[in-house]
Amino acid sequence: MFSTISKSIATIAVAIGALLQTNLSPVFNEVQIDYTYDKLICSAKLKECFNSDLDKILISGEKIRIVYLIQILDKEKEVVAEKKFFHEMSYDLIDKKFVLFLSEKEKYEIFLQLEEVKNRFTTLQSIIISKDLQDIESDNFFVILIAKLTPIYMDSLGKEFDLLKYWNNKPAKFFSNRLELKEITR
Amino acid sequence: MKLPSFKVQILVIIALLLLISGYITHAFFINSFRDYEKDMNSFDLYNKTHNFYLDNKDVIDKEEMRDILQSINQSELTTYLFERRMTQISASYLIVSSIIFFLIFFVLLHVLSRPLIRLRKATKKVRAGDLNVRVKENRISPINHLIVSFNEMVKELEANRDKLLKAEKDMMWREMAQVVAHEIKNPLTPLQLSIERLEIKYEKCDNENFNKTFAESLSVIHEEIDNLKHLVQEFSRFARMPSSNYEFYDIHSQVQEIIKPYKESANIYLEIKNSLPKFYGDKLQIKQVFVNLLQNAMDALDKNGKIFVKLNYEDNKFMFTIRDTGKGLSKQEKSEIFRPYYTTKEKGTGLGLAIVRRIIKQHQGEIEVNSKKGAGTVFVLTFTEHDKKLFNDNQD
Repeated sequence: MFSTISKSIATIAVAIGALLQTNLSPVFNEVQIDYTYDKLICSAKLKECFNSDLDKILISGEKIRIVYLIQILDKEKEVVAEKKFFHEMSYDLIDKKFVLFLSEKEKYEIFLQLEEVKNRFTTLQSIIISKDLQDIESDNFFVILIAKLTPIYMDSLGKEFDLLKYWNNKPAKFFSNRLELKEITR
Repeated sequence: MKLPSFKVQILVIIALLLLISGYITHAFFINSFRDYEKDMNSFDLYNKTHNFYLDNKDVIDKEEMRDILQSINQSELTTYLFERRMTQISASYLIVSSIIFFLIFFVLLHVLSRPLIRLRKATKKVRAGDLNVRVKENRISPINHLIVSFNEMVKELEANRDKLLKAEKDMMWREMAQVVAHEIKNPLTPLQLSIERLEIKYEKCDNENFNKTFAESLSVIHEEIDNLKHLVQEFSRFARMPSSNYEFYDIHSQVQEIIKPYKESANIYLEIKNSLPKFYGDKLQIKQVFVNLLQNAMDALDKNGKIFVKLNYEDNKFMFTIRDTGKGLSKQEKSEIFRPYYTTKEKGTGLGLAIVRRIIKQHQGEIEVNSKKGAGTVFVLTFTEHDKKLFNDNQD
């Protein structure tokens, strides 16, 4: 009797906990924008983007991809330049290692620990956007960063599984303040 | 054993229902899927297959093995995600059922308790004497039959009260008519005799005797006319009670003022038990009550007699006692003293105590008399503190 009651209470707590467990709201942190030799260099870190379910999916062997988009907007908020790239990671089920492909550098990186690969997976490291910003009138511009998880196809389900639902079905976005060229020139 | 309140009982039932829901969720949803997941994991398919590959990697194609391992992992992942989904569905089920239970709770509470509250208020009004009160009937209420019965009961009570009042009124008027007729007839006889005597003397023309008889007869006629006048005045006082003017006031000071003039001619002792709150009543009418009772007590006293007036407030009740050490009342007298025109005094009208009783009744109070021939008389007046609004309504 007592165990039944305690199980019931535990179940209620777990079930309500599961429901109340908020979906993730990833944000770009440590955003750094520099202008050097007519090139815009952007670095950032995506935070709060994994939970236990996503961790489980990351080690399932599926190819998980985050598509990044960096846009430069002029003062009229018109896109004047953009760069789209992706990070794709998968777990090698035979060699038990993580393989990460960084499309902006067109290179693979190998990791043995999940936390390490997650860290690199969500890091934008000195992304170069080739654009002569001197053209932009009055030197005022904005930078937007967008990151989005793409769906995976699961054979066992026989359909696509939308990973973005773990992010509240919203891509992570960052809007910079109005930037002035002289402020970020190095 | 005292049962918990209605609200607590309903909340306990809801808590039990939630526990049962939790148990059902646990047993039929989460547990089943956890067991399934446990069974799947117990096969340890991934590790076994991986080890098998490591042992035979020279003969097994690596890519084929990757596909196999991926399928195994995918199936485990599907189970895991499904179990997570079921947990969320269970949680939704629990939350929705809780909301439904609470809605049921509030609806039940509303449906059951509102008419009960109305009934309670109506009962209070009936207790205060308002028989015009009715409770709104509601066909969907589970206690509607009780409300209908209550309304019928009050309706019957009202009808009976009206009948009783009418009968009482009729009886009183008949009784009064008899008494008034009797009282008027009494002075008529001496009046008639006096006039007849005057006629006789006048016919005989006996001046000496006539003057004497004339004077005597005039005196009798005056006296009897005065008696008739007094009788008529008292009667109209009784018939027309002035309209009441209720207020809160200090009854202690009032009683002190009332007994002051009586103290000169009798031994009167005033005792106050407990501190008295403000009394709610008609100051003039209450004065009339005390004056009447004190006058009666004075009339009953012999030379060394004493009067004790006691004012007390206890359990929301004012209790005033007027006790005298006078001649007391017989059983017969005691049973009739409140009847209009009943008097034991030579020159009394018999309306004093009838007026006293009427005033006390109007104040929602009670009057009680205890007496024994030769052992004095005690009048006990009790006033319960009622809901003032109802109390006022009742006077209209």
